[in-house]
Amino acid sequence: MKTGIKFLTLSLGVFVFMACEKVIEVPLNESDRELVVEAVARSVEGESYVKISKSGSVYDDSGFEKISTANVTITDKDGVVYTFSEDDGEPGTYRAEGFVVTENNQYELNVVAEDLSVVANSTSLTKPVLDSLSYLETTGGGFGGAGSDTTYLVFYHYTDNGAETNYYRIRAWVNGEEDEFFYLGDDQLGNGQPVQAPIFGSSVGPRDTVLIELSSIDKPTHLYLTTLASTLAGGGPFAPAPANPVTNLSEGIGYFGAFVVDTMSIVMP
Amino acid sequence: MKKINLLTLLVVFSMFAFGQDVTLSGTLKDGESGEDIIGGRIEVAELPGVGAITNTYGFYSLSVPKGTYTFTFKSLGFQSQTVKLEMNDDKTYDLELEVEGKVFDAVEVTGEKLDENIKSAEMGIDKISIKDVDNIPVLFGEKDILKTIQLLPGVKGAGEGNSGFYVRGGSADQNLVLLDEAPVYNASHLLGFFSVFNSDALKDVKLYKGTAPAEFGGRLSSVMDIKMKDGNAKRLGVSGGLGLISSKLTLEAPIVKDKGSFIVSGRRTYADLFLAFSKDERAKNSTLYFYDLNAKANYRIGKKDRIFISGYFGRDKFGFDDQFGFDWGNVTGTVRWNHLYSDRLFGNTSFIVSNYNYKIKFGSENETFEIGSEIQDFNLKKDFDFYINSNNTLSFGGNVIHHTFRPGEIDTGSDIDFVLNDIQERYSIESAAYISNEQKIGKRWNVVYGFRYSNFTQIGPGDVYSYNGAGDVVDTTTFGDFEVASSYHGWSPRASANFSLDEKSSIKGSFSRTYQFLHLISNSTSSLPTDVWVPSSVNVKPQIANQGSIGYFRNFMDNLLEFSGEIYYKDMQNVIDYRDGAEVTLNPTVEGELLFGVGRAYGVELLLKKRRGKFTGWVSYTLSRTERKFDEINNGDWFSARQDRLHDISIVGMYNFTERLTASATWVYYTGNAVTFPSGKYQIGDQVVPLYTERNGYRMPDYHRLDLGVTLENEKYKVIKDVETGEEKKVEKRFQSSWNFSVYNAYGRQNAFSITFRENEETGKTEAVQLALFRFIPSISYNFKF
Repeated sequence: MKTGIKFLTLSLGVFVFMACEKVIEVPLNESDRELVVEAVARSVEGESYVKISKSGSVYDDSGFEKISTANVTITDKDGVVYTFSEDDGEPGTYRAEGFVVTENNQYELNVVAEDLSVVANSTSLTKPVLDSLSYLETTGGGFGGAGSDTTYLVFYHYTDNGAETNYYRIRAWVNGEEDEFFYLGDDQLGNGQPVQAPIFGSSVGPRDTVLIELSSIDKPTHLYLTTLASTLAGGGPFAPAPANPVTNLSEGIGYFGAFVVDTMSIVMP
Repeated sequence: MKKINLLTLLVVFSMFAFGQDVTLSGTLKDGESGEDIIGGRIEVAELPGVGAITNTYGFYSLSVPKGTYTFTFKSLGFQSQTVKLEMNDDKTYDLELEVEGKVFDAVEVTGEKLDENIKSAEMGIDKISIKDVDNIPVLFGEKDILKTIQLLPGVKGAGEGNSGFYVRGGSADQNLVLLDEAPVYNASHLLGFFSVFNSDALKDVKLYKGTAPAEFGGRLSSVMDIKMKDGNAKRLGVSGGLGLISSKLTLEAPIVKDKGSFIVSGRRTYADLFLAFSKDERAKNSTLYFYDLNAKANYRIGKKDRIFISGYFGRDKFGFDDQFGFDWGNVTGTVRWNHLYSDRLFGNTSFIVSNYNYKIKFGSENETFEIGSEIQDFNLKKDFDFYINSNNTLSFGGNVIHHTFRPGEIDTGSDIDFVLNDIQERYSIESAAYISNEQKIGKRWNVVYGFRYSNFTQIGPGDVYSYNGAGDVVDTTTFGDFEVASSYHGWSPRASANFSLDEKSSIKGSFSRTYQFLHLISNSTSSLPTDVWVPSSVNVKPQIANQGSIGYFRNFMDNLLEFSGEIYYKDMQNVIDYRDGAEVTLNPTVEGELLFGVGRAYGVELLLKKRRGKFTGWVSYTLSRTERKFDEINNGDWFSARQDRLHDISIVGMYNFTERLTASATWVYYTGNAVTFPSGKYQIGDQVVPLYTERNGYRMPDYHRLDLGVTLENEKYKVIKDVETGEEKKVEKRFQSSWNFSVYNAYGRQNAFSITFRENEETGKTEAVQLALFRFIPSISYNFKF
């Protein structure tokens, strides 16, 4: 659907050549400084972290204040408590050695910082399995591409777990560089069905290595990431009235998500 | 049942009570084309205050005591005609009026005193003459009634160059847009930049902003009643135009002279023709165009019956190579049968079909994936006009609509090995009955009162979901064929009154209550072809509005200038918004994404109009507010709706320099839309995310724009010499043509279409970036007819 709209917007290039952009002064109100918690729990050791910071003014570019004195724990459904402590090299980022997300578990995040006590829960689902990666060769790089370039459209294939209601996030890296887009999926229209979809964002050329990560996430995390994507896209002429992403935290802004991941890579000919 | 008896009683009673009078009835037509004249007026010199007005089909009926009278037939843009008739029995009198100003100099002289705006109880109505639409400059020279109507008070455009509109603080889906009685579900082409209405095929446009006649219902804010031309009943006529964006051609002719005629009018854009010049093979194979086709035929069978068949077919087609296709469009059809039961009872039966659908296709050959969505109506409608006597005209009738909603039908090609489920279809029955009387009381009062009763029933087959507070499905109930899942009904009283202060001025007041059972779910601020219509159901209550208005109407300088001022207040219940991050397309549980709230709108509308003379035009000003309140949005506080604009001014002027040269100019100014801007920012991952504190708490910059246009017609007349007398006389040429030049946004103001906050790639600083769309857009078009 979104692709359709994107294509259509592109085709309105007829109009766009008449359009002009300029930077203008827009006076804005100052919101209160809010506590921001980004808690990412992953099924790969060493990849889980909790980042704590504060929000800032729109026109202030001096960076965001990091919170270093927080108490951070994650507790699983068996009551095992993992204490996250601040990474020496990275102020405001907290990690716990040995912490790894397992399938079908439940996690509770507790953060105490700046007189606020933040609680959030996330559920891990069954590990998803990438079946294969494939590609489609195209010549002429689409809109605006040079006529002779060979590019590839990379597809990922997986089969939805029919026994669960599933939500997915898909990320891609081309030669180690992350694609600017991430993709979100659910099984509302195709429960238990095989799924294949392309990665649109990065252009992939001959001999490039493409790495795909498929994460299984719970509904609140999916909702957060979906609403985050529309917040980031917000304000456009065809977008809905922008709003803050729907958080699963009891206080502050941000989210807590448990990701169960599978990865696979492919090298182009 | 009781109500029907009451109605019969009323009719019978009226017939007896006024049985002494005799009736003059007939049809009023345009002498040149044979088109019916809508809203033509019949006056009786000997009986001041007694008169009649022709209905949609040009029919009038007027009862008078026996005697001899002088009847005057008049209509704006036509030369009045007066006849003396001896009225001892009921008489039929059909008449054709000659078009005014055939000789240019005569315009000033024959200008009729028309004070309909003072005399009628109608208020809150915007009328647009198709001739004005032709002259007013618009974007790309593509004349458009929906854009022209935005220049009238109380109507606000959806945005730069857009044909979408908001009426008196209502939302875009609260406008009932009817083309020959058929609802048009998506009235725009190409993301709203053009409307689906080809003005060459149209005869009459009326927009009811306040109390619409009881005949209409089903939308909260307005009714836009558009009538297609019937076709020239006198001779073959061809007209057409070539423009920057599109070309069009209209053909009209009698089927049998003065008995029946037809019209076919088509328009197609050719933006995609430029793609053929592209170097890119795939762009060459792409399509991007829209077309409209209007067709109508009518035939008179005997003196009492007449049949009309009309249809509209329009489609936008977009395709990129053979990889992606997207097309959407409306189809409407109306079959009407007029029957004269007596010279005082006029009836019309209509069968109406309306369909809007879109299709999106990905992939090629057997590896395809197609999504289709559709809404379809079948409507049977019966309307009567009963001319009880010269003081009372009763309108009554009813209709039944069967709605089918197909939110998403998914087809995959044979090489695609996964199956996706279609989203269940939804069905409902919408029915209504109405009665309304227009009554003259004494010399000063003219009142219209009545009510409409409507019912909306959601029927099976299908699953109905129950949702919890978070919008998640908690239960499913399955209904069988025609089993009732939910039903709503409501009474909508309507009343308007006109009190004449004197010959030149009047005070009017009106009240109405309206119900809306279909809701457009649009996850965007502009109209997109993929917006979904959702019917009222167990989970979605009908929207309800109450509106009251008071107005002062006054004409100056022998009706040369018309002034009106109206104040209105409207409250709305069960208005719809969405949860943050709602997915509205292809979502079987879309009802769970909806939020219900209340709205209010109020304002003052002023209009000063000059309708005759070399200089015509108007100045319109609207001062208004419109707000919404939802528990889940903005902490439950009132917030401005997007289209809330405090000030809105339009100035329109047209000047006939000579018989052949007309210049026109429009200037618009309005307060910027309400908009949501961030009040802070923060970081998630590598992304800087804006932080919002309130909905629509900021304003876009004020908007203003000047458009200019010039229409140059070719020499209309030729001089021929009478062979016998040697006398020279001017005769109108058969072939007539004109050139139209216009400039949109003539002083090139950069009006903000959008403002986005983003980080400057070099400095890393957050900036507000304004996008302006159209500046100094020239256009040229050539029009002809013969």
